[in-house]
Amino acid sequence: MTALPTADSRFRGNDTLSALDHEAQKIVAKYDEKRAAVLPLLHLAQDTIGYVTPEAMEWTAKWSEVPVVHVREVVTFYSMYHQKPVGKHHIRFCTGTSCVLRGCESQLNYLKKKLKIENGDVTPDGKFSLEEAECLCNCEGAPMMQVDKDYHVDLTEKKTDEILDGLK
Amino acid sequence: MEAILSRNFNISNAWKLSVAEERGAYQTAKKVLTSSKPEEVLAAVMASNLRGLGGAGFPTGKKWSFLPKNNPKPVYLVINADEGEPGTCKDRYILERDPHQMIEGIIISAFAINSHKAYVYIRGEYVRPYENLQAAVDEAYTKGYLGKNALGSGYAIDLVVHRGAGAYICGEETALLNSLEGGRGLPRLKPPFPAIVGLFGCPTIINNVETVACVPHIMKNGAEWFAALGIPGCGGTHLFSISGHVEKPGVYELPMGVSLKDIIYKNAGGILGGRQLKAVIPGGISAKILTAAEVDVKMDYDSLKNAGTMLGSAGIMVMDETTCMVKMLYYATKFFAHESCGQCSPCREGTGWAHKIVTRIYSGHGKIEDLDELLRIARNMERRTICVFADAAAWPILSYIGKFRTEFEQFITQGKAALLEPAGAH
Amino acid sequence: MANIVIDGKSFTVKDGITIIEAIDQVKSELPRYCYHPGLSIAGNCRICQVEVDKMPGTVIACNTRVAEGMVIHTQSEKAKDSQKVVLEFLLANHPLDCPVCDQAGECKLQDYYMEYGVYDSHFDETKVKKTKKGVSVGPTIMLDQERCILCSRCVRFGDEITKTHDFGIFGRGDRAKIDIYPGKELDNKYSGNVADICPVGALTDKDFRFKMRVWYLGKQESVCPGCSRGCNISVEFEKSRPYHLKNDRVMRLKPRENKDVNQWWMCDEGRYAYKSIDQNRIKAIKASRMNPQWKDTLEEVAGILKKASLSAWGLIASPQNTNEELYLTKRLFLDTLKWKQAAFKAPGQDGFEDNFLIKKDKNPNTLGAEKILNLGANEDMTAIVEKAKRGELEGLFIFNHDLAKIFGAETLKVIRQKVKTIIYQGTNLNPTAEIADIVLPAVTYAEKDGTFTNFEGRVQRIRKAVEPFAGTLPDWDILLNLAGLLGLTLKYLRPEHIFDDLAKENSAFKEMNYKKLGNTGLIWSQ
Repeated sequence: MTALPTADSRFRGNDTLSALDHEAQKIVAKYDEKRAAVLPLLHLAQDTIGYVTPEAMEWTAKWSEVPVVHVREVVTFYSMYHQKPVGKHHIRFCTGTSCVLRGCESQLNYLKKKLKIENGDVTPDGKFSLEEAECLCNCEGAPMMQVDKDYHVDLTEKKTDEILDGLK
Repeated sequence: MEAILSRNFNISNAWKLSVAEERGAYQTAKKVLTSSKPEEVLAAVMASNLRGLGGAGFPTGKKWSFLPKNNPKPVYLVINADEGEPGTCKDRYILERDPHQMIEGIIISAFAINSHKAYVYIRGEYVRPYENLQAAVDEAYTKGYLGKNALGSGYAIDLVVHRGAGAYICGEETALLNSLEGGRGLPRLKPPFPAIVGLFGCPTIINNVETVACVPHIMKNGAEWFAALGIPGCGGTHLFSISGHVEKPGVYELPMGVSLKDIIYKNAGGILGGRQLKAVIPGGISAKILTAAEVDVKMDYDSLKNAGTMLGSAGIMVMDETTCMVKMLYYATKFFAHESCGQCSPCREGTGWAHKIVTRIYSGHGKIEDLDELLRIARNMERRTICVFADAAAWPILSYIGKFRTEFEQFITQGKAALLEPAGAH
Repeated sequence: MANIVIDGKSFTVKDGITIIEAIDQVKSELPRYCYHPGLSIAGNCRICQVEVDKMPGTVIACNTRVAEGMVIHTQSEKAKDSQKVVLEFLLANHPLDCPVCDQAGECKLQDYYMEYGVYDSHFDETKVKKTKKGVSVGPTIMLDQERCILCSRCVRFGDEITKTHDFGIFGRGDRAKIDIYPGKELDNKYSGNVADICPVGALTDKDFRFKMRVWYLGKQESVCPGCSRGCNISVEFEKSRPYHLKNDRVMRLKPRENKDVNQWWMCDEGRYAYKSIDQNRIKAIKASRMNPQWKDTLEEVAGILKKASLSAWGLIASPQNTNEELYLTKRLFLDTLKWKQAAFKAPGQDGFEDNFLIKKDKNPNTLGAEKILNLGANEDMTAIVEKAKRGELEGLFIFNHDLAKIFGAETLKVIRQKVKTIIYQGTNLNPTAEIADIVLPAVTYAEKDGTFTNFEGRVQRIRKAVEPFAGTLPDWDILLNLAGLLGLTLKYLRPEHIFDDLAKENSAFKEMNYKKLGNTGLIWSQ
């Protein structure tokens, strides 16, 4: 099974980029044109470093042969790319229509109070960051949130406690 | 009704090849690739009345037939797995729970359109579905079901899974192509259409996950069988997502043309807590809202069009009597303002403008004139942009205010308290 | 070909062109922001809405192709309404700071805002804050993000024309903004063009910024003298308030469309070279007597030339001069005075060249000089200079060249010592003019009429934009007067007449005249 890098492998700094060259080569080779590798290369860099650094943009530009200014356009266009560090565990809290109908506002407020952060913030210990997300398409489990890779559905305050408290 | 697309959804580990194969995966593809001609597949898909299940409802066989004849360039098959329409969660089931069903569909479809390379564009947030899908693809390669000699047929098919990165607009097929090519997800000017100039400038067919997953079933059981499952002109079943104020939200596989009322009250167990129905969005956030009085409608492209809305992605969102329409419009406009790609001026400026006005109303500073102004802005956004996103952004404004104007006016003049909250509402 | 109707008038246009191309070809009007004929079609501003019979709603003219029988309306109520609706969206987050915006007067947003009468803004909300207000993005350009309407012309220019990939659009939705990559500069050889193509005041030219309001500008069609490309330009000068900036008359140069020469563009080197029109000019005659006037000075020169021996004088003509002037130079010095030693080419002066517009030959009329003077192997001036250094020449008549720049100050010093008489005719001060015995102040290309022949033999007109400074004369006028004093009577009132004779005499210019040259010139016949 193909697993993405886990949260534990993050925060290793920019010097890890060159260690990713071999992986980059494999990614580029999958596509009919190198430029198509921009998104996966950025994912790889972000999954490794924790966010997209300027060096990661240059590195992506190099491998994809896309001008770095356009790599930056991509980084700023997509909501999943971060230009500054996020928490060790990044939370995307769904605020889509179905979740609103099922009470996501009070669940979100509970989470904010629990972590003492607002949308876009990182907890002082760097453990959690919060992003209010548009529909994550798990509407049948509303209200829901994504923590790192996983979707957590049918949220209650108790469940949120269990999920977050269970994370290292 | 017998489950077709969803038959493996509750089989544990069906995303693993061994389990999928026990359930019959790849048998149809093997048969088609070794004993059928591409034209026969195209004819069957045409006859099956399969329509695109991503939202547009365009007949799939007809779409395939737009590819240029005698074209010297490679043909690409791109699978739109960028599920993002609020209220919709069906493709995730296929991707995460039964990816082999889709891969088999890709093999047969690629064969039919003479494509040797397929890309699956999966939304970035779908990490677990991606991992299952990629594992399934890897297993299919290992077994020789994909690759230079797919299923021993001599036909070569490569499949690359490509992750998005968080942009609803990439569900628009030409924005998806730009994103797949490594750029921002900006919809392309049309013409040219992707069948002529698509991915990397080559002829390209873009099909939704569920659409392509139907293809093995059509080839296995016959086009007539598939057509008969649905209604005239629209064959097969559909995965309906239902969420919001119902007892049993979920994804239900039902025939095309099923009654919306039945889905809500029979399949989904009725309104949450036994409360009264207020409104339903039948096809994802972009579809115009229906009032409780309008829900006696069949769920298919034409019936919903006649009812002034659309089937869209079949994402049904149910709202009970406690629902504040101002709040729902606030979240709808927030979504569109957040997700507009920003390319065309009416959409870029209009979505932000409308959201600011609605935010002002929702925060208690609305004016009665704001409502007509919102309607004016929404109408001005319609039909003036490269893609239909701006139209979709306009429809919630037009339909929520159009159908619940009194409530909006009361909210403005009397504040939130004007909304009667029945006891027990959360 | 397709027969179409635009606003009730019938036209036949090429098949498959876009509606906006057809509208431009028939010289009709239609607003546009993102569309630029030199760039790919973006279709994002949406303002070029037209009504087409049998098509629902309105469509954008820049991405709709004409078809046989198409009936197009640009002015119908439906079309106008649709354009106005789009304009309102474009203005929603625009600051409308026209009074302090340098683009005012040549801003398409402002123009249409006035024309469509969208004065009463419906937009009551807080505008999106875009951070960069008047920041430098490079040596030539200022960026004002909040005025930007995201037409992407500057992005496409960097991607498609210069391939320097300077600008990008960062963020999405109404938060999207134009910028260059952080830490980089817009620093390419064509950067000034982005100010030209920016339809609003988001990108402005630092050199011109706040210098004057554009409605005070006069414009004259001309050709850039900066290299042998001959980019078509518009010389823009102080028109109505000549007292305002004293001697700075020419305010800027703008490229002028010529599909065969420079398309819509010009290089920065040419664009900002206009300052030599007004600065560092030779304005006073220098001659042997005090307070010399043109009449007595030319008489003095004629006297010297009459006595000059054919073999002891050298002529250094200039490829900066017009075809007409070079023709007079030939008639006077080669045909009449029969000088044996003449040249015009300076050695080792090649500059930067690219595979777009910029040519290494920094003279506008080298080909004209070659064809007209017909000096063959002798065109290089080195032999004459060597002779001068050896003291084998008694006199030199130099047009415009600075020998110090070409051969070094030391050589000029030696020449000064060894050559008895040096006559200099030119426009701007330099060491050669400094040491000359007689200096005849000539005018620049912006102060006279004439023609240049570019590197591929295209003969193009320059036109007088501003009057010569007092005390200066066009080279052709000086040469005409001198010719008269030397017994060569030429009855030319204007350069145009000189050109007519040149066309009769020199087969390269066969059958050309000013009228035929028009605004974009003609390639000569061989």
